[in-house]
Amino acid sequence: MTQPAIEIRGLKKKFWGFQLGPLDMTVPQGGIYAFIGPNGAGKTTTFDLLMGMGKEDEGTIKVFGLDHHKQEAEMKARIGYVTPDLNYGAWKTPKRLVYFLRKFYPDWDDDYCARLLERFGIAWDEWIPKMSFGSKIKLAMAMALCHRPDLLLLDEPTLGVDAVSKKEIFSELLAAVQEESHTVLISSHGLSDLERFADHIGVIHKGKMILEGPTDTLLERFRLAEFLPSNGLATHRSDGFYPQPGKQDRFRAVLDIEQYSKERLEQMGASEITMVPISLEDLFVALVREEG
Amino acid sequence: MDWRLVEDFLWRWWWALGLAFAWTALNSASVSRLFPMLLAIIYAGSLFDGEFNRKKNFRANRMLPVQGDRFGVTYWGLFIILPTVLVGLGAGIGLLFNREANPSILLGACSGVLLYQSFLFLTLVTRFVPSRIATAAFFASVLLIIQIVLGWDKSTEWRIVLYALTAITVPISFLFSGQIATEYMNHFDSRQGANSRGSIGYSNDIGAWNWFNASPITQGFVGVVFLVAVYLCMTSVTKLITSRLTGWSGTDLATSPSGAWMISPFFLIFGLIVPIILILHWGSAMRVWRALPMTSTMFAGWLLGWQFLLALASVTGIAILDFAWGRTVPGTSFAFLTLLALASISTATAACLYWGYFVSLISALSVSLCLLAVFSLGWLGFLTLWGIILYLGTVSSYRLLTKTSYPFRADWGPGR
Repeated sequence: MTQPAIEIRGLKKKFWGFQLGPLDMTVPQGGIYAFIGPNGAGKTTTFDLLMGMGKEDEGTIKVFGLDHHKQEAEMKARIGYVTPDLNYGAWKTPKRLVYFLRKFYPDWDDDYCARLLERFGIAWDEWIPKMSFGSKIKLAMAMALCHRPDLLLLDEPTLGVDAVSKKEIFSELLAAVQEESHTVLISSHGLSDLERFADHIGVIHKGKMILEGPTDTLLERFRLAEFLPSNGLATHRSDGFYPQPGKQDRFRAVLDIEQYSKERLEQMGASEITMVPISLEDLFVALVREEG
Repeated sequence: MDWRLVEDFLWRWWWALGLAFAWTALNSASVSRLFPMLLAIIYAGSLFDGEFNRKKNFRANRMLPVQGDRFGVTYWGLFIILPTVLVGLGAGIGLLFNREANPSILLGACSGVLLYQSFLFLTLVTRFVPSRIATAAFFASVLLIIQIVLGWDKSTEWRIVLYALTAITVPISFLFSGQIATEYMNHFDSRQGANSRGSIGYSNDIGAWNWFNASPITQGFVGVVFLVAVYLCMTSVTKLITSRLTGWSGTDLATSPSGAWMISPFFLIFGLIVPIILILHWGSAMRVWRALPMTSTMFAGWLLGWQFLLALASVTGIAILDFAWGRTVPGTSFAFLTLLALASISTATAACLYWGYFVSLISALSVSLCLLAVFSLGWLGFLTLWGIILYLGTVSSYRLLTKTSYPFRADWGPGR
């Protein structure tokens, strides 16, 4: 069995008013893993802990089998990291930044770097502090890719960028995965994009992983059902049963069909049942929306 | 050993050093009134600097449905209370324990802090965001006017107002000091908002017992005890060293042979302003640094490399001043000795980080050797050590900074 790109077990971190975990997460090698969750769910905290910014209370994190504390340097050499919070302003220009960064990475590819900067429309002597937010993200993206990492960690890489830039970023991501066999762990709120690109999905809510698996399998597993409930059918939210705003007399719910198949609903007294596939966005909303 | 402790220690070192100097100054009857005021402004300014220049954050916070003045009190207020803690409390303790201390020091400190607060509220209410240079020029001119033209310290009314305001602000500062420190350390988190739930930041999560996660009252208590301890240690050590070197009793800085360093512009520029600005400047890129393929140890070494360069600049500046003033033994200066020790620590640690072993052992050994040589060998020891420090520090720092031949590099990356 291939070693996972990222293997998180029993990760816990407590803050004031928030606790991450215990979190288990497995990111397989190759492909794009979408790490999604509402604001404050713990996505960035997970990234931070993985990158050594803060120390977990409990649990282990391994990247390609490397312990994120004991083999920190080796691990980070294989990671490209992008977040809107990366501040390259201190280096002033991409030229100085590249001069600084390239020495850390044995596999730094100058030609590829030049191509990426050109593709993203970033000049070598452009003044970084004056760059737009989108350009800064693209610069961070380029810097993350230039050393051809095995794993790309992207924390909200498309936050605040325009549609064209977003397309460029995703295009470069796909190329990186296809041509270089990179693994990509991305957190983003652009669920429609992720549905198209992501091979795996992990949904985190209130610090806990509530759903994880291959995208196709997960989307196959859930259906939006409409039916006429009987008097005895319990229609409150439960595991695998997520009520949605209804239509007149018909009841709507997102269902995990492994638990609530059509046959089971019929046995429970529901009638006139229809089931249709749902989008990732609908599934996400159903999973994280509070009842009532 | 958790090397994050080392990282955390490094950052706090500068602040502890600055605090020790500030409190030493406040505890002395001989120091100019201007100095505590300048310190208050430097500290307040440096704390505020990060947020002040995050205009994105500034705009975002200004959009909150809060009046400008309330906004200042509730959010920005946190950042300006800390200087009050440092200066006001320091002056208060100084007065308690040193009956010879001049009350005008307290007045100077209070007026500096209050001036800064007034200016800050003004900028918040008017929404005018001046540049740092404009801010500095403003303070300098107002201070000069107060100091020279008005002669405020002779006015009884001024004293009453300032004492009253201090009496109000210091207890509040004490209660909130932990929260302020937490907010402040989030600067190094390099997040867009210091008020984000980003307390996971670099320095906020270290060790088994985390000061930053303790309750505000515990933080305040432990913080003050820590600062007092640092102050007592620093002053005791410097007095001891100076008394050994010069025969001075160490009871009054006014009679010390090198007390004047405290008001030296060289000390202010090289010892405080430049290091603080540089550290804040590079601190803003903390996330970039932590993403680099370095262990916490290497990272600590990197920081130490920078510290060495800064300390070297400080020491050089003060040495120039000492020579310019005709002192024959540069080691008689408090600042010189302290910074020499810092340079020694930094150099040794940077060097051993480069070679990879026994950080604390070599650091401690280096400091001991350094001080021993200055004590016993005079000029010869000093010059020898200076040469070693210069060579080791420069070479190791340069290599750490440029990575031209970093020994760990060959072990990095996939397939190695």
